Amino acid sequence: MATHTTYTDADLAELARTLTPAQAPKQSLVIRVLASNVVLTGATILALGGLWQLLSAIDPSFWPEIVLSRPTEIVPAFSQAITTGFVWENFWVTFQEAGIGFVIGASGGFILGALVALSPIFRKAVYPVVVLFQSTPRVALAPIFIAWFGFGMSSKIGLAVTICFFPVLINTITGLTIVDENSLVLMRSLKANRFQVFRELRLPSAMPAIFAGLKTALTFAVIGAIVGELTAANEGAGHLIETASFQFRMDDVFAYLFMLSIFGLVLFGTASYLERRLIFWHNSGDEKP
Amino acid sequence: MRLACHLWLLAIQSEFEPEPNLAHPPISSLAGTDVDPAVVGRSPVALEIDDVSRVFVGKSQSLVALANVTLDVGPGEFISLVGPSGCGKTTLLNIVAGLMTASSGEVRFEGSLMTDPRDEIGLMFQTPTLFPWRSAVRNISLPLEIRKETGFDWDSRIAEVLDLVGLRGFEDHYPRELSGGMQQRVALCRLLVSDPHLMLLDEPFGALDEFTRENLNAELARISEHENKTTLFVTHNIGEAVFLSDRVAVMGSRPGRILEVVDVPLERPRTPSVRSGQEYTDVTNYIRNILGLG
Repeated sequence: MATHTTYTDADLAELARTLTPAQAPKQSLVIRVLASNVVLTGATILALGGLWQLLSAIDPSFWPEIVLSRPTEIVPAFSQAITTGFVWENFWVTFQEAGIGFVIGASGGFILGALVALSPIFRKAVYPVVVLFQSTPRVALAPIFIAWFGFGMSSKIGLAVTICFFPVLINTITGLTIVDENSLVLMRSLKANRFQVFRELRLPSAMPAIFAGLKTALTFAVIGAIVGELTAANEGAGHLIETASFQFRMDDVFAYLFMLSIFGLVLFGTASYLERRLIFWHNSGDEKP
Repeated sequence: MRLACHLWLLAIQSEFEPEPNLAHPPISSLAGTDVDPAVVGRSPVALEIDDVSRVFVGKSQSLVALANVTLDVGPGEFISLVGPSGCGKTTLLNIVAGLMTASSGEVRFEGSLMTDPRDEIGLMFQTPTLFPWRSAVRNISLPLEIRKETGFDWDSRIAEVLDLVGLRGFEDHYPRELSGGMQQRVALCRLLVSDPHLMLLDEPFGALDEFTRENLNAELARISEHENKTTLFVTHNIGEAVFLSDRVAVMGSRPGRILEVVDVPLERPRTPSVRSGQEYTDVTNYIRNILGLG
């Protein structure tokens, strides 16, 4: 019956070695550099900037410099902005407002979300109010917060808190509620108590959803701080933008905007990195052996 | 018709004299030579399912999922529940597991009434139901952690079950790094680690391909003979049921009930070659007949 060849582990290793396809011709360094993400993205940005510059050069009356600066003016303004201590001081204010707002709002969202998800009574009592509040456009609360907390940082923190509270809340509720049915049955058959089910099953399985909420909240916190500053403030990135635009320094406005974009990108990148490290088990495309 | 089948089964059983196997006594030898299903397994009994019914009450109509099911399972006996979808196999298993209450009748395990899940009972599902954030070994230790087991060395017990299912070397792999068959082996380890007296397996190999399924059937046969645990095995694969079981409870639907309990007079240990024997084919065909599959 067994007329087939039997392979030992060593045979298989040898077979794998001999069957490895001949190395594909190595791409030259130039091609690999040109095809890299950084270069391609940079090229897109350059192309858009070039187009922008071109359009403003073709029809200067349609694109007056006073409302739309040209890239050739924005780039020097940007390099000046990032070397000015005064600018950094203002961005630092915004960063603190967004950061403190994020920590308070996200923790609050998580705690309330956990209570709503785990307690049916709490859910009935609180959830409808939450939904009602969520349907209010919260940036419209900016004037109220200014009236309550004044022109300083606390009104911006308050706004950041209310804005980034909800994505974390909703995602925490969803994540903790939608749990694999069989896993719950398993835990029940093991006679796990509520706390064990929460710690060993619900919380870890909710982590991807919670993290998605946190990432949204991070962006929202910056929006909250900026909106607060635009409404009324005497410091912060939003204040800088508003002052510059009132003085028709559009090149500076664009420079600040780019700084904010990069700032947001760094925050989001950090969050994504943490997510990959903490929820390494989720959605990975690893090959099965 | 039914009588003819009985006589025919008696005929094939009389040809077959089971060798005494101390590790896994065939239930018929315990109960004497009579093969009447009502008598087989009456003494000694590990699990008694006594006139159990279950009705699901709906808004417009109610569904009788199980009607008057009675089944006694001897200690160390391997019994399969076979039948079409909707015959109440899983409902019966859930009631035995203490996860669902019976509408009437009762289940006694080792003499006491089943009302809640118990430590002596282990469960396995069609899906591996592993926690993806835990490595294989930490999935296996989950029951020990939940029950805060003490009194024995976890590591050596885990090593023991890993060896038993052939998972050595995969301890630190995460579920996503394992194939479906391997994941189901981890689930089997998680069940075995707390050394349950009763194993309840709900179509554990139903989602696997044919090769993996037959492989794991052979593994399970070996493990169940080695560990000698009372087992209820739900499947809709007749061949699998015959290969593994001491007896097969053939179930019908509308309402869910046991049509007949069929003895499997195949020798142990069960090896894959059993499947090519005449007895295997005969019993399989007999069960197919009961189920109206011709």
